[in-house]
Amino acid sequence: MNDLAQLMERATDDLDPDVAELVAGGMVRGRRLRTRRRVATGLGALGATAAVAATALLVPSFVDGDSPSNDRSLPIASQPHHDATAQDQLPTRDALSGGRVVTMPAPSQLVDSWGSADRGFVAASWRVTPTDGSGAGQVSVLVEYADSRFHDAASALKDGTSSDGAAAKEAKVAADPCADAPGQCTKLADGSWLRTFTAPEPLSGGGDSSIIGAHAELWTPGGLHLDATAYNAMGEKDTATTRTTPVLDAEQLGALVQTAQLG
Amino acid sequence: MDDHDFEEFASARARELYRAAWLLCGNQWAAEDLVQETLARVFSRWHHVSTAENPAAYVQTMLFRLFVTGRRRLSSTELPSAELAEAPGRTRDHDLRLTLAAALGELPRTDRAVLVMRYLLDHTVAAVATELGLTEHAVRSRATRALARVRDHLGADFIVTTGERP
Repeated sequence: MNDLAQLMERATDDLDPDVAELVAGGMVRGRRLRTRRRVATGLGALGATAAVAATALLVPSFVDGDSPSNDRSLPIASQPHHDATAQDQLPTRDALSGGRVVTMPAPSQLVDSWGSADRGFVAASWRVTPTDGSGAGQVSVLVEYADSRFHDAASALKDGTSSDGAAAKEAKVAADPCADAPGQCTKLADGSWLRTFTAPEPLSGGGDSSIIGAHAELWTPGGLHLDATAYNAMGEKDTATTRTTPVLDAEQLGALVQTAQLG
Repeated sequence: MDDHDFEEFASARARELYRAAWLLCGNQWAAEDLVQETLARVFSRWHHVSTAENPAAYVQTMLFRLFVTGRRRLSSTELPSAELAEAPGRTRDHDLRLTLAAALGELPRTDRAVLVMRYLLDHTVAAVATELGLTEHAVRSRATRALARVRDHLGADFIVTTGERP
């Protein structure tokens, strides 16, 4: 007989990482992060003085090893998009490498981007500064292929990998990805599911935080998952808040993920 | 910022983080990358983390969230690998590690995280739900589904015996 807890314990008990190297590497990267954050903060302050109604930026898609010099890019549009036919292009992994058009409904400054089509996701974060003077905040958008609840459940059901009574639950989730989800969740006309909610960001398990996150997630029938989050701070964790509410609300983020276009 | 305090904290937590990271990632290189990225995030805001109620829980949650969301980047010199770094026979439970890695590797990231939190770290369903931003029901559902898949890999003798776990 094998117990999973015991198996995991045994399998990892004699792992002997080079702790000194891990810590030193973490500190080196951490210093880079700190520097980037300071630079981004400085750039954000400059950007606010030249704010425009929306922004047009090129976000590297990192198709070849996160290389910013790669020509393939994620265009961030300067005009709102409401192209219903964009959903027709969703069900392919190639879509991730082709680019994504995201419209920020307020002046924004790209802070960071990461991921690649090869790794199944692309993402970016912005410093968004509304013109009402209420303070800037971070917005991040993640586009990933598969690994969403909708796709997982649908695949499990299709592949017959469920057992031990899990099939009924999986069927329920496949029919309604919102079944267990908090917040407002609706099925859209094209078969996608949209979930929006706003909640405090946990500092740690059971901890409290004054950082609030507004979220919008979109699962498409083809297995793409878009996740947009806005904070009332320039980060999701334990950084000083910059405003009382997230810089974009859940409804605005819902519109953002629905109107995002594939390049 | 007190670098010495961070070094002391990180050194004390690194091995435990690495064990969880290894089960999540399935190989040495990705596990090291995940741990280093986690430590980097913590280091970059250490003056906040160090005053948190439970810095150890904070860093652990950060590691799992980085893994689930994929919000970390490999440097240009780091390449993902599906191979184990350890040579066969070098470690006591090398075969077990391979088998377990293969079983976990077939699971979606979130399901993998749920199992590692529940069974390696012995977290409660409520704690896992909080740390991963899921409902408790979702945690149970994912654990049930994931266990069924792991059972397919590990065979009929595989059981789950501990506490309230599904």
